Amino acid sequence: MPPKRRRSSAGDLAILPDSKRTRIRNLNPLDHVSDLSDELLIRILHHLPIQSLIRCQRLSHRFYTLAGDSQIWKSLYYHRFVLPRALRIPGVKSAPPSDEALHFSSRRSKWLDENTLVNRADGKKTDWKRQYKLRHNWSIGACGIQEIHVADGPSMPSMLVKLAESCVVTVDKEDGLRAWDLKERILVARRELEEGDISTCVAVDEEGGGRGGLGIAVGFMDGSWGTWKLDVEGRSFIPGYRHPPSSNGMLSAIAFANPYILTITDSQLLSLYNFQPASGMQKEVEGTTIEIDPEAARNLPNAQDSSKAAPPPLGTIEDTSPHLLASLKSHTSWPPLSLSIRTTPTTLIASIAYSLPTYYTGYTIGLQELHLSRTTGTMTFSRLASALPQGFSSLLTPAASPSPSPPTHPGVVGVIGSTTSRPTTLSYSHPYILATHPDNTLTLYLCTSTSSALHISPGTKLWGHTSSVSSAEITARGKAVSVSTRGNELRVWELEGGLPSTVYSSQAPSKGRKMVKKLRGEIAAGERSVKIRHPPTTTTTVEDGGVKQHRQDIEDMDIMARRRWVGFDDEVVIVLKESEEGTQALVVYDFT
Amino acid sequence: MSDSKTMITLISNDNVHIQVERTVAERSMLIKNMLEDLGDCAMSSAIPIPNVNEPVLKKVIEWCEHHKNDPQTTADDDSDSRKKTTDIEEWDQKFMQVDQELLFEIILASNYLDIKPLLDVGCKTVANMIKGKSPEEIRKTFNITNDFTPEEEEQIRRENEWAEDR
Repeated sequence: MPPKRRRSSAGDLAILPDSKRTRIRNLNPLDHVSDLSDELLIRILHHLPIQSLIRCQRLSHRFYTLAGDSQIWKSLYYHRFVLPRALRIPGVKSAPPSDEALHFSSRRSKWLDENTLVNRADGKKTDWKRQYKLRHNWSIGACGIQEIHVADGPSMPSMLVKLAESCVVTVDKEDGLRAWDLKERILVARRELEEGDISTCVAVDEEGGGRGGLGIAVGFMDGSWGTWKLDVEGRSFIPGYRHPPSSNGMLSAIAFANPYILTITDSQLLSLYNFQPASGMQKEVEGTTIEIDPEAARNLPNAQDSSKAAPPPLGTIEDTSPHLLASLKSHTSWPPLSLSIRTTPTTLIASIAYSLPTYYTGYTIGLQELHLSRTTGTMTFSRLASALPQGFSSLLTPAASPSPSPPTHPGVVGVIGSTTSRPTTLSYSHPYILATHPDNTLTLYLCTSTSSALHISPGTKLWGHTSSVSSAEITARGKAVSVSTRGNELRVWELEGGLPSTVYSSQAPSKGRKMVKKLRGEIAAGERSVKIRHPPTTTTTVEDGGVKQHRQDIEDMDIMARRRWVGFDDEVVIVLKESEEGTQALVVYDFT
Repeated sequence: MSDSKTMITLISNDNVHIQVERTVAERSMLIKNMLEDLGDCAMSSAIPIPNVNEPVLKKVIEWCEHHKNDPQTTADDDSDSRKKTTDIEEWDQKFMQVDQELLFEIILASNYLDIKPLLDVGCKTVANMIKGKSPEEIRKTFNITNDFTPEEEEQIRRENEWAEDR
């Protein structure tokens, strides 16, 4: 890319400067356009629509570089993908149209969360043309489809999958922990689990990779959990800490944001661990835990002891043993649930999103947040919210004095709520909670979490699938991908909007949503690789435990059994599929 | 600020003296800033414009005459407040109906003299000549030499296929 040029407008003036334009070798005397400087040519190219711009790339080497100039594409990207979102911010539209912030300017524009591209932390230059193409492909649903074969037979319980940076991590009993490279579609690293380990949940470090590789936490059937580091270059998993089994039962979900680990067992016992050594903190912690579980409490000194006795640390935080920060038991949360950890410089927010039966009308969702001070490790408060139309109540607002968690929320039970069927999966990425339902729909909830209140909006139904939705994932900026059990359907949702605002002008402006594109096998190239056959309907890969409590709902069990998994990042969507023969494969939808 | 009717003298690079109203000449930010910096002593002496010849300078002055009452743009250089469209007002369209050599000379001169609205008109005019044409047609229009091998050109075409049909 040519370096950023800057016109000298008011500099050396007393003596008129000589023309600074660079004369490029110009062999053709009639070729006047090539007499212009790069800067002027880019100025001209700025006025072109994309089709003309990319044609200019075919003119000559010089035009190839100029028409691919990042500044041009940055501006195009801004106008197509950022400005429409900026215009939806309440109040912006009513601002005078001359509001400078909305005109493209490399220095002043509102880039919203696209700021990460503008001011990159890694110091690399963003290739705006590539970014533009990526977003373009997402918006029209154009992608290449590839498969990675991962297992010959069905796994029991189901294989667990997580997408992390450019690789996919899978865990199952037979093959252990494996990492797959998405670009090459090869196995990068593999590590057998210990004999008898049955993995039940997996999480990747939400704080990202960084030093020493990507953190992975796996929870097991026997209540134990462990951490590993994936060293992509060294092609290996480095074992970290292993927590001993617990009598509290199987772990049904785990979240990992270094140095914190959040787990929940089948019987809804929530535990929060901290890997960071914090001396003299334990007493305080115990004082603030809500209904300390005896087993967990017993583990506490254990963990401390083993940290002293442990072999010299390998230089990473995780090699030291964690201590329990908080533990609590919830009587109202039902699976499916979703754990997450958010951190701010001062606070750690551990949240659990769960489904909540409303007895008369089906299910809704609830959210509990635990706020902990990062400096002292003490819990400042805990609060609950549920998406009942009747309202919500934030029960534990007093910040300083944490009182016992009220799992038996009086307002929860017996209220005529939404007539929603039990969600099959929940995906929580603040501020969105996306629930999938067996009745072909998804429900979107918006959480508002401020220092004084926690509130979940009433759910919004999303229609579009023609069969039961089996899995979905949502990101914090409102992009979601969902898959359904039948019909081989993958759908990409822009739930915040992100398309020209005119599309939504007649709809609810704040939550304009539109199904962007339905991806069917026929659209993408390579029919062979996109045939997603239905997973067997009679197979008995029932998730133990997780379903046990809900035996009454046979229909739901069936759905759980056929669950597939979907995850995505900026460039790819990954679907775990199971063919009728029971073989399992990761399907990679590549949007680059 | 002195009387707007003050006349100043510009000297083109082929040494032709051209009398022009100060307000007209001040459409050029270069000249405007210089006059402000130098003060009244500059009024009496002629200003050499070393990069622009007489026909082009006259053409530029013609544009400035017509647009002398336009509101001054306080342009952030990067800003995209210029509309994305390549709409050009009618008078400017007629003004730009010149041969390519002169068109590009005007663009160069307006860039040098820092007359942003004129530069924009020029760039839009060229953009309009490119729009909707195939690469071969564009090359023909501007006599651009193709320095790609057919394979290279095909590769670029494939690389950009995603944007072709919308």
